[in-house]
Amino acid sequence: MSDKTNDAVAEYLHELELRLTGLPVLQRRELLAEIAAHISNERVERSVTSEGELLELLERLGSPEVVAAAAYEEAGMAEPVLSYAGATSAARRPLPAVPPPPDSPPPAYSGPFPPSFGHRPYSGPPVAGPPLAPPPPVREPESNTGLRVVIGVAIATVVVVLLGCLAGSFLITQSSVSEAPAATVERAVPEPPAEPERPVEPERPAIVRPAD
Amino acid sequence: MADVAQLSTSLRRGTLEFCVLAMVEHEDRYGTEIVRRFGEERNLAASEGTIYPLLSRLRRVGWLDSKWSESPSGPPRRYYALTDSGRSALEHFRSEWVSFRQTVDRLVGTGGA
Repeated sequence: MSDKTNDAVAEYLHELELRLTGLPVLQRRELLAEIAAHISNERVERSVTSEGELLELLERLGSPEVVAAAAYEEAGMAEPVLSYAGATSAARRPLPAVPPPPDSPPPAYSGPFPPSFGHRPYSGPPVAGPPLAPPPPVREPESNTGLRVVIGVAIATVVVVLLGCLAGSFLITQSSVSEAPAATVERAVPEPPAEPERPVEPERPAIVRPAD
Repeated sequence: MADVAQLSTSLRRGTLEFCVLAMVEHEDRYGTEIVRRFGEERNLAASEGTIYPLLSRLRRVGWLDSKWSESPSGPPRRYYALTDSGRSALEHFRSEWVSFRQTVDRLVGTGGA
């Protein structure tokens, strides 16, 4: 009987310790020591001997989830509630900091890892998970339509390229055609003003000649 | 149900700690003693284990002092004592509480009861 009761106490303390890993080590040790002393005191002073009486004692103490939630609240810390997927601690509505994460992390954390990653509920991974997760299921069903779209785009680009080539050749031919007249015009127009002729000095003597 | 529980939780928050301070105002008490005393008060009945984190915080903010002491009958006991700043915090709460209670009584209509 006493082995059973000792097991129950050890199990309770162990469960509590697992849930307190987010606390500073001294606060964690202090609380565990107090709870252990409380249980010992009660057992001695109320002469608790049977397992039933001991379980009542532990029940009055509160579940490890409830005690841990109070510990985080009094420490002014966000409880790593999600790490344990604990409905009891969530029902206790410990801190306002909880609402943001609950959507994503719960499915992500279920194993024995949470206790060692006490403060991670806020880290990137759980947040980055959801955005990355949806795409795959979306891509799979639309893979066929995706291929069609790709083929369509490829055809369109080929057509555009061909049109571009045709247009380019047209432009080239047109530009060669238009450049020619433009050049002739330009050459024709400037010549009359005689601007290019001014630098040409040989004409002055020609003008001088008639003066002579 | 949840709302009722939430109400008592809300009422307890901010007042329970001064009940703790008052409990050790005249004599030092050890943890289990304080916890047991609260267990007798139905209105304040919280899980006993949640009192210890509260005691820890009151000690960290300097309102309570503690020292471990041997027990004649069982394991060592941690005795809590009110510090000077704890005493002034308790006095401040008392004056605040009286005016607060009177205002709530007047507004809610519980003053004449």
